[in-house]
Amino acid sequence: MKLIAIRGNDVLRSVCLVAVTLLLLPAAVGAAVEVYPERVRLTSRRSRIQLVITSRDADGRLRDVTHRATVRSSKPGLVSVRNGRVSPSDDGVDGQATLHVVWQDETVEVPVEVSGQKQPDPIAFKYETLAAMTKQGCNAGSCHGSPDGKGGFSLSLFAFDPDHDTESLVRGGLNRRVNVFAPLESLMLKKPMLRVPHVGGKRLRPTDAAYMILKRWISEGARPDRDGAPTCEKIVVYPGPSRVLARPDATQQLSVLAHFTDGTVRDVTRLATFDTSHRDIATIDADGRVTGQSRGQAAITVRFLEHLESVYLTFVEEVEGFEWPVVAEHNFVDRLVNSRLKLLSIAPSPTCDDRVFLRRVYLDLTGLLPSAAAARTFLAEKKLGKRARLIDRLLATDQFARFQALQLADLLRVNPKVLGADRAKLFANWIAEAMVTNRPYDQLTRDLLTSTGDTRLVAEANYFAAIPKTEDVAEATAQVFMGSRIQCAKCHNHPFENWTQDDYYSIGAAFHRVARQADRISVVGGGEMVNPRSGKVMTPWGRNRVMPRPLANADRRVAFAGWLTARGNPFFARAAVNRIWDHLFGRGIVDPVDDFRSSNPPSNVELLDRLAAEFEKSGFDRRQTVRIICNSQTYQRSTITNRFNRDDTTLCSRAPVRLLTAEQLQDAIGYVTGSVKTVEQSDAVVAESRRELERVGEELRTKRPQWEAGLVERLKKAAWWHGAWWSAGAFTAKTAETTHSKDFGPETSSGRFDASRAFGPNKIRWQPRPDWNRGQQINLPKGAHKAMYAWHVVHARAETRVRLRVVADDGMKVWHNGQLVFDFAQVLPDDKEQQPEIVLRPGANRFLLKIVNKGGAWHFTWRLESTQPDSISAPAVADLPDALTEVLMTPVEKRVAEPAARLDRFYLMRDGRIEKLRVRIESGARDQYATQRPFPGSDAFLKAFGQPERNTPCACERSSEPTLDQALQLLNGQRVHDQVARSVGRFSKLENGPLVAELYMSAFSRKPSTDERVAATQHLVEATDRNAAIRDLVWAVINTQEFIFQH
Amino acid sequence: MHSRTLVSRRNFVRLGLGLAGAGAVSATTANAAAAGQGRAKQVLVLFEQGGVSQIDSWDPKPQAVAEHKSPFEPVATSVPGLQFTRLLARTAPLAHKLTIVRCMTQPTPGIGNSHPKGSQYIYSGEAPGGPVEMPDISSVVAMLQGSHASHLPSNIMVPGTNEQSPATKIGFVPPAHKVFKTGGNPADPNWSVPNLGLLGVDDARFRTRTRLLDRLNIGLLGADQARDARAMKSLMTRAVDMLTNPATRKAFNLGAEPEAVRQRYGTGMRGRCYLLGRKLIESGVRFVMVDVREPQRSFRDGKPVGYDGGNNMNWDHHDAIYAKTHTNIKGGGAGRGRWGIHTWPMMGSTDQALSALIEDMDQRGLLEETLVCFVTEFGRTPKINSRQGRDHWTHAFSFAFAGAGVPGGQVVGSTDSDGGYITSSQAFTIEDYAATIYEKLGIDRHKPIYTPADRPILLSRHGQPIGELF
Repeated sequence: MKLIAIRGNDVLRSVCLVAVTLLLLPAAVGAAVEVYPERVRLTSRRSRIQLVITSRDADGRLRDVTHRATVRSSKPGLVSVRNGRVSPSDDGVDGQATLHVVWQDETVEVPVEVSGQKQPDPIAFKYETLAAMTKQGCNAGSCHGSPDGKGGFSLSLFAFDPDHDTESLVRGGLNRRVNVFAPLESLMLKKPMLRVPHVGGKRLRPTDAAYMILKRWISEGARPDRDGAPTCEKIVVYPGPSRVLARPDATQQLSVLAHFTDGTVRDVTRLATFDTSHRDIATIDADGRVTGQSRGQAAITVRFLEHLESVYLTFVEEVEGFEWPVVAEHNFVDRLVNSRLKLLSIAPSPTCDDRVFLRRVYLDLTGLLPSAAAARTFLAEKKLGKRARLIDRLLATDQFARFQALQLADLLRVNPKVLGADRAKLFANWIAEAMVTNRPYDQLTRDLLTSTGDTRLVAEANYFAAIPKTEDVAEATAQVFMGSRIQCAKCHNHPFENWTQDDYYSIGAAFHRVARQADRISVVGGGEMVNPRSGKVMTPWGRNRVMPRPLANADRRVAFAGWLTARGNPFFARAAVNRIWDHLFGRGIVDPVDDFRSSNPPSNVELLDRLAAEFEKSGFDRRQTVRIICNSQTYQRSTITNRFNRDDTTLCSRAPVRLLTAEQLQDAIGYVTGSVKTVEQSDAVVAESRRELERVGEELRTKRPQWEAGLVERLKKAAWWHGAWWSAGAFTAKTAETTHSKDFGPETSSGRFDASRAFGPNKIRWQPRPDWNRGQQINLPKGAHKAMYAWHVVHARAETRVRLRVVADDGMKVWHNGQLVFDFAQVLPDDKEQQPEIVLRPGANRFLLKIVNKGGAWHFTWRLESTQPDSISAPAVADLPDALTEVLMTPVEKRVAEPAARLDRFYLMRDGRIEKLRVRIESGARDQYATQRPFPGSDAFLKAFGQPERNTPCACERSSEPTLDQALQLLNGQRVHDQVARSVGRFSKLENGPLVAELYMSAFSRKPSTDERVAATQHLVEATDRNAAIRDLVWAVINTQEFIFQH
Repeated sequence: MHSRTLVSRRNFVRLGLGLAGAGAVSATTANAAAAGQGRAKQVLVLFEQGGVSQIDSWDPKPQAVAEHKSPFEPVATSVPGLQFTRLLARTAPLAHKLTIVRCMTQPTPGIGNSHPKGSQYIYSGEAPGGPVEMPDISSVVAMLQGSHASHLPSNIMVPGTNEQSPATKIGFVPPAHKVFKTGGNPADPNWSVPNLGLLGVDDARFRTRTRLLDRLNIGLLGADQARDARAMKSLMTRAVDMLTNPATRKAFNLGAEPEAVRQRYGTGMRGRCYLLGRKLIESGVRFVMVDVREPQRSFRDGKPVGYDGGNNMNWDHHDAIYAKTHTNIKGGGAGRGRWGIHTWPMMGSTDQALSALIEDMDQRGLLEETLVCFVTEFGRTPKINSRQGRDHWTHAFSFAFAGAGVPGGQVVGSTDSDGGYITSSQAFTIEDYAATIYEKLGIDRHKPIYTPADRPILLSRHGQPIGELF
């Protein structure tokens, strides 16, 4: 039972579809002929029904015999049949009859009921006229359905807006488009019939079903539908959802029935628009008759106005000489892949050699080539099951995790140009960490979609920082996590899938309340998403299609993420496993990998469904999915084609030939030329650094109490010490004088500090300023007529006289314990008048500062100078910043978490070794590998080979097509040139024989053949400059097909 | 034709790929017009970026108000009744080869009024900001028509380093058709085209290497027919060709031109680039764009020369447009870094190079089938501003066209006595300019091309070819 790109609650619909189909099947028990529908009802004068007559062979094969069976009506005066189409006779009488369907020796009786023949049967505007125009192509995107129409005549794309179309047809065009008095004079008929010039060509013939409808509609008065006319709820396509037909001679008549809200059912087979996903496999004519052109599977998409259904047809054929080879089946992947291959008479290729497997699995899992040493070891290993063991080993490496992180970072748009280097790094590391710990994918997704906070601290919030607008978030989320490109539905209903414009804005509604302020992502309480065309307020997608009532303050994203990641969601698991498959095979089961739609069938429905189910069952474990796939024989097939699979590129009968990706190629060249360390070497560095970090950490931990005690002692002896800083502002006033004199709020209670108070209409609050210190110039953001308040407490041991030394060239005011002690509009540094003496009380001395700016640069400095020469001062700022002094003076058990953590960090970072080691562990050893960095640098080489820009969520950003630029880079690019030059360092010390062997084992994971060895050695021997010859050899190896391709 | 290629000709044919156009590996779309159905086979666009002041060049206004008029008096041209300002004195005798369109306009000025957007407007032929990012005209043409000359890229930009050259976009067109930018300053005697000049090895060594590669390149056993493998193989062949083919070298070798010709074009960057444009057209490149911005430290006649204060010499004369040297005035702003519009690095070199180009191409018969367009993003204000400069002006500006059936000696459209607003009944947009290019090349604009998402895109759908140019 397929569940491809159908909306959540359509699961039920599809189940019903199958159930209904089953109910409509064999009319008589044991008969080899089946007629659909099993009962015919003709309810109006123009009512028709298309029969579909199927014969079932002895071996169960189905054959469509609609146009070959004989159908006799028991009452020709009442009802007649031609080409399988049942229509009431011209006499126009109601009644009942029976149809006898005869095929070979079987007869099936179908009861017919004719009614409503005396009632008028006017043409319905939307469901007939507009459907007819859609069928003839009038409202396609390249014709009148384009945003500006064509030739001054505009229709809505595929008739998604009947009101607009009414306006255009009936009232537009100076009323010449329809002429109710002389219908044949209507431009609507004359133009497409080419009776007058028509740029669009001949689009209508008198024999077309559309012609009768259009002509009749006009002569009936060209009326739009009346209000309250029944609407079409759904279309039912028979046969569906899939069928296997045997070629040659494979045709299939389709029946399309439209079900309306008033219970009526109309046959719209001749009015529906048909499309095929693979013209070379199946074609379909205007009357809904499919012809199988060759072996394979195709999706026939049936569209009737906004309804879209697809039928998957598989055409099988006897192939001469075809025999299923003996081939191992390791797991369900093989069984499901092979069942499809068997059906279509495609023979799989055999399992690939060890060396091919080795190189392939290393590149796919870690992005790196196996080192020559690792290759030799693997190739020599004799114990059974070495491939499975290798897979397990690689899955456990950091390299695997980081390579996965690179791919995820592409999709999540970790882009330093947009986020800034720091935030991009933070985001990238978060992703890498999630991959290293194998975080379940559903949790990861929920974390991303419901993130809030300061993007400099909360890495996952950068998902929203990277995407500025709600519509873009909706599109990105749908594409990345649902594998669906809903972009088309932004302005009109999606032309190729069931997404309506309402759906698009519903998803948007889930994300509409995300606010981006400076660096913070938060959710606001209000704000609704409105469909710009209809003006309707959209409610978000959630567990229920419509939330029962707007939940006032709840984060709607939570409901959306919950729905998306729930087991059974038809999109999430499938999209995820499809990407994994795409990564391992170069092509998803659905291709393009993020374009799930019913008109784009998966190459193997059962496989996709099963992988998705296993993924869910495993707890959304990506590593496990990779393990299963890599262990299959399908993944381990060779690329060598055979007679029976030469033309297959979608069913995985053989391994695909793939160009290495940009990062893989860069790292591969780096390794072969010796420009970068081997993985083993860098792993060793990382392990060593980790050990060192432990040691240093331990060392510092033991010294910590000593350090603290020393400082505390100094502080206790000091005449005074400074506490932490807070600021509130900036406040703005109209003039400089007002800025200086006005109390913006904090001055009223200048002796007290209340962190929860908010001042002014903008509700400005006190913020901690851990980066502010005494004696340093503190810079404030530029701006004219601004005032900033600062709060600062100084603790004195005893009563002390101090001199206040401040610098603030546009003026400052200082209150000491509520008393104004300093008030100058312009502070000059050396003016002795402006250095008042204050007496510090024992204990806490509360200072409120007000720094004013008239314009231009803005900064201030704060210092207290002792009047006694021998007074002991507190430790310098470099040894202990003001922000940490208070923490230090608090006993350990009473310390608040955040400032305590800051103190810990300060202590550790004092020792430069910690930072150096951290950098070395996190990136140093790995930074040289482009595949190991979630955002590798950008250079001409990577760009030429398709490194994505990370500006869109589309997987297509990573272009995999060969280009001229790439060839030039390999043959003559700067990077390759530089690295080839360095290769001398790796190889010059080796003798010719070992050199060639090492080169080949590194580049290809194999020994050179005799010819290759001769050619290479000859080149080395004949050279006058051996180093130049080495460079030639390395250059040549890097430029071979075998090197740049995975095969 | 190509003696030393990676794959022998026999093998090449066996692979089923022709030698010409081998680089276009992606499927061309349904309306790939066979090259040669339109009057033009090639296009040369001279993009003078920054907004060339129309009243100081193509559209003289001697009756304008004194405080705001151009100080450069009109001169007669070879066409009776048609005048340019004296800044185009050398081009004036060739006016009978040109059509001047004085009624270019941007209908929605806000969209293309900035340099990045205006430049993108010119490159893609469509006002930016629409639902789909449009590719450069040159990329579309390269995709649909390829190039005669397989030893050169199909669309080239000389040098492709103007301030707004990042606004070139590949859009939804396959990356194979991205514009190739030569880079550098062709006036520099040491200039060679990056990526096409052999790095670190000489010809002989490179040939040795390719021979070695031929011996070692055993291909992919049993899988050589894979589409990408075949594509890469043919691209490697083409790339080797480009790197070794004397014809490629020749196409870029300015030194091979006679001294007289080089002098005629002018020996600064502009002259060299215009000359290079002609050479590339002569070599068969389908679409060439020349976008010159003389750098501050440049060359003349092979010798270094400096333009003091001129670190941004495009046409954006917001300040001191008539300065005798640089435009860096006190209280100046966005117009810094240029030299006065009449000076050598500006109109001086332009007038010389343009007149040389038209004459030269005409004499060589290249104007028969090459459409030449002289364009800019917008014009400049008829009023002089407070910094003695002129600001952006999108209401009326001038383009010039020649070749491929463009009638000579014609003026299309007219502006008022200040040169500010269009008075003629016709007015043309940059979309019309793009439509003209497509029409001249014989590309069917009524057949859409498709994005990877299957969305139909009609080329310059908001434009109509400029009838007077046909």
